Amino acid sequence: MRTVVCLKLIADPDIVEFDVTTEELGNIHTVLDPVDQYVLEEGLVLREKLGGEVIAVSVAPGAGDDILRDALLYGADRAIRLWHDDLRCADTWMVSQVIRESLDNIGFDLVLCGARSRDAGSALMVPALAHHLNIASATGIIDLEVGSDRKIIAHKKLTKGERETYSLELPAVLGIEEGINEPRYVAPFSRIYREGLRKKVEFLEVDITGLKGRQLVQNLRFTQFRPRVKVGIDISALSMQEKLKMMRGELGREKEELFEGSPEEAARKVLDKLREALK
Amino acid sequence: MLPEVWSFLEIENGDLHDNACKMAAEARRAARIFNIAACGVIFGPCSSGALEELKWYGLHKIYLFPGEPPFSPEIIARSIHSATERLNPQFILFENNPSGSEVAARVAASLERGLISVCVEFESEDGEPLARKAVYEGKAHAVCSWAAPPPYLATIDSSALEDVKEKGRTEPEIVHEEVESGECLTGLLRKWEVGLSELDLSEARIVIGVGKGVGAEFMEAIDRLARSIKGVIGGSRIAVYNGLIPLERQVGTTGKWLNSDVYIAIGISGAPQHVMGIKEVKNIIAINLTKEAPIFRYAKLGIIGDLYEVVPELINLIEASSEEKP
Repeated sequence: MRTVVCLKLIADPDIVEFDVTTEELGNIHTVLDPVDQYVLEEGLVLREKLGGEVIAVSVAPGAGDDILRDALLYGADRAIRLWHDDLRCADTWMVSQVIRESLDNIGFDLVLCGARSRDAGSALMVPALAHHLNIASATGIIDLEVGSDRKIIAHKKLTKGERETYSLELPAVLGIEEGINEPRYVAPFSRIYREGLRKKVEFLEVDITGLKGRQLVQNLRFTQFRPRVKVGIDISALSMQEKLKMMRGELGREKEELFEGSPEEAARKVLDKLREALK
Repeated sequence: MLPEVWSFLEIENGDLHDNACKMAAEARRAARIFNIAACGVIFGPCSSGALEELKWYGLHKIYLFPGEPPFSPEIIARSIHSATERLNPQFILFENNPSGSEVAARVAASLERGLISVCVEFESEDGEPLARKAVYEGKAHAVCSWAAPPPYLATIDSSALEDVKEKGRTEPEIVHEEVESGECLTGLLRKWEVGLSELDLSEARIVIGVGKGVGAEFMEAIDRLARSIKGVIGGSRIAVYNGLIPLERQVGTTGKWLNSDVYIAIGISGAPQHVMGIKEVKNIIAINLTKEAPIFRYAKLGIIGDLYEVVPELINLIEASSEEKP
């Protein structure tokens, strides 16, 4: 089985910050999207179970070579970087078309992506790829079983402990959620690591003229974080203290209620509050 | 006729889902910004009580897609796609939760229209609609525009939503639509819920937190309380040290960050490290003996009293009322 894992290069989400002076994102140090560690690991686990190969693909500028080289050291069979300078401001739709073109050349049984990237988090890649390729897809997958009969059972994570179970057939695109597995540790100079050192990251210049893709979404500028102004609040009339409260999201919060009395009454109050909260 | 903004309202067992009312209010808000008409989109059977409640949100129309739930995201997306081609809405809004964002993405892909996700606010600049979205989990905002023609799709950040009712009730026009059928590439087998004992703290709806004030011999009662209100037990670092709860149940900066509806803090004083973990919780109820405990500053309801007296009383009350109900 040939599994293609799509890796995304993003700015390190722990340290990136908005630079007020330049009005741009600052402190950018590119790393692999955290969720993609799980994606790569899932590809490797499936290869151990079912055989075949794992191919890492990334649409990224030169810095993307680092994450792809890491993927090789972790045990991926091939790593391919796709790029064209005009893709610098591309949206998900453009990138999905680029990946689709390359998938035609590479060939695949299963494509794995992160369900939601840590930077923009549009969660659009999986449905977009499925639409281009006209194959089955599921996203937000927290548990995955691929049978030898090319049938997949996938569990999707919803909120508040709810789950959905899907059945689909290969070829398919799946969006992997964090926590589906435990990414492995590959010791330096272990056998897999040394084999990875011998492999090279391949580079493909993308031909954009052939893509029908116009951009669907345009990113105009970055601004500072600002919580939404709640309805009915006049900002100009607020004092500095209240403005700070608003920034922390505390403005308009109900006043807390303190109760001191007999245990029976206290228990009754707690129960009423519980019912009101869960209504 | 005014162009329309559609808002996808989730239904669960005939009733409105958690944030459906807020999404209706969101449609009204977007409608006001862009001077268009607010409409709701509902899949599945919808009780009259739910429709009654939606009258408070100034909706112009409600599109009902009847049928037997559960719907797979593919079916919902396909139905919205075909309705969109006939009715040409200007905007389609979804809540940014796992099911909403998947449907949004599928509709966007099949229509080949722009989708801006995790929106916090809509703006209008020179007549062009703009959306402000959070990037890097809220470290900055990006201002985006739709480059493709309408419908403009967006998912709204759950924390930006607010429940704003209109002053008077309006009678929305109910429009019945057809759910698309046909072969699906992805089949929905079943919907299920994780058992309470395996449920992760960050996903739980009700969390009970235990702290230094709770003795090991009292955990049995806490367990009973948790079972009776279908809650999950977590706690502070002291509770982990005292062996009351396992390490993965710790709440706070070094443990889990909660996002639950209710948090009942029992015998917890409220150290800043612990409070950090519960700041997203909607309702905090604290039971503590000391009046000066910092946890009372964050609690919606604070009970000053002995937890060894209040908790058994609470269990009795809940068990008595649950026996009454059936």
